[in-house]
Amino acid sequence: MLILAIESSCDETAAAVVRDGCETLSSVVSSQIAIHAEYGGVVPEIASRKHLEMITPVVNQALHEAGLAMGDIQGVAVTRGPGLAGALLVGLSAAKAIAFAQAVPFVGVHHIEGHIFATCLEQPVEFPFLALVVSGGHTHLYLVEGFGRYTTIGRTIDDAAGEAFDKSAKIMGLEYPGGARIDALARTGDCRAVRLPRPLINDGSLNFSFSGLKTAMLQWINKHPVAMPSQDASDLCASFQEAVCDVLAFKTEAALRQCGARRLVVAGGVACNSGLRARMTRMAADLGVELHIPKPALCGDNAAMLGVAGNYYLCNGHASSLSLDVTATWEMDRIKDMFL
Amino acid sequence: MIQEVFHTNSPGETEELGRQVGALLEQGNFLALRGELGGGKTCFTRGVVQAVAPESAHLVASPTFAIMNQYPGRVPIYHFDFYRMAGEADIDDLGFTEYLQGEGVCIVEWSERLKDLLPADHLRITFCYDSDDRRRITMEARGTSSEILLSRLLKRIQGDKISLT
Repeated sequence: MLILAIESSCDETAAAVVRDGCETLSSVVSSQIAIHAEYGGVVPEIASRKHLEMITPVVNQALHEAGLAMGDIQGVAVTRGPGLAGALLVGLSAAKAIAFAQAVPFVGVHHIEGHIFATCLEQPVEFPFLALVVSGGHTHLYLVEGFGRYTTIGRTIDDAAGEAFDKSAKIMGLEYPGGARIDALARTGDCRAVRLPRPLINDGSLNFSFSGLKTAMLQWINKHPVAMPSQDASDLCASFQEAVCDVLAFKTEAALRQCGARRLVVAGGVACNSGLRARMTRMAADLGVELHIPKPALCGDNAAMLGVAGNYYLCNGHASSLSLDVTATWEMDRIKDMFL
Repeated sequence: MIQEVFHTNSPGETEELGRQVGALLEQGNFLALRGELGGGKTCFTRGVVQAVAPESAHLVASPTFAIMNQYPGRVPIYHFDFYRMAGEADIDDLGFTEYLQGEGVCIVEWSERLKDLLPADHLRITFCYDSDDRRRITMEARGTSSEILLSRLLKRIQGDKISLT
């Protein structure tokens, strides 16, 4: 099935064309194209108004890059939630309008479900598997037993890992995008130079907390100002990144043991981080676990990732009705009630 | 305006102060949180939600990236974070003012970015560092319902002999 996928849940307006839930024919993300120069680059596309301005050009660009016309599309997948209602409505309304006009089915997909299956655009993953989703807004562990069958087994109780990266970068005075700058500086730093906390690491749960790590960074910088760039800055970045990776790896390993999963998917924007990729690769090898981390272009928010679950739902009779509304708050665990 | 200063010695105490405030919240209350990174704003909010909407307490997390988290409960809670918002125009464009007329409670981190959008009746809560773990939390009630909230809080904390100093 040829699916047009649309994403507008947070900062990015994105559209993609995906064939049979595994082959990306095009994937367009608003921040990566200069449709409107004044909004390009670093300004987040948070406001619904900006999604509204971007949605048509982004969809047209996705069709153009795939070499298709609107009439070739056989189904539409769109992020239904969670996210800001106004932002979600732009994508959902566009998806409904296209589906209605073209007389094709459409389906609303959970944003995180999209991230989890992004890796399937490169290679298939067998169920069940454990998914670690790490981004600016999420640090969650899910047991994934099938499409629509997700159980949350761990989550952040305050900041997400990506937020800790961004705020720590800001504390250090690093430029946008902060997470990538920390990653780059960490490569030449000594990760044992600064002692930083590993919050919740021994609490026995599978939950995360990164707020205390951010605060520890703030207090360190206040006491030991670092020049930029310098070896001290690189050491601090390496120490910070090591602390985040330690916690993520420790809890993920505990989760793998607890659910006996033999496959691990790491997804979300922070999965771009080279330190985390290396750490997860090492851990998976030690444990004999099959690891799937998508290429960096598929880690951040994009629309192509929605085409995987979207294809499954549309091919298995789970199309949404045109009365579907956005779901600003939507727990992954609730999806199984809707589809099964 | 009524004002009161609290001191907490740990994130656990900041959360407890949140629970005390949460126990008294009513539909329409507006908590305007401010203060630097790591001040305890999300921690305090976790305590509030534990008291107002315990069934949603596990959902509390920093809304910095999401901009808004919604916690269903007896009184629904709209947890905003304007750390990433450039100004009032962006915030207005979110449909923020619609939530003010809703039946819930608004808790807003980085509320200083609201400027003219801040409702007249609000409880301003400012988080400051005293030392590594110790925080000075100042509450200033502006408007009738916020003044009632703060005076009930003072009575409650005294009555329950809960030490937050």
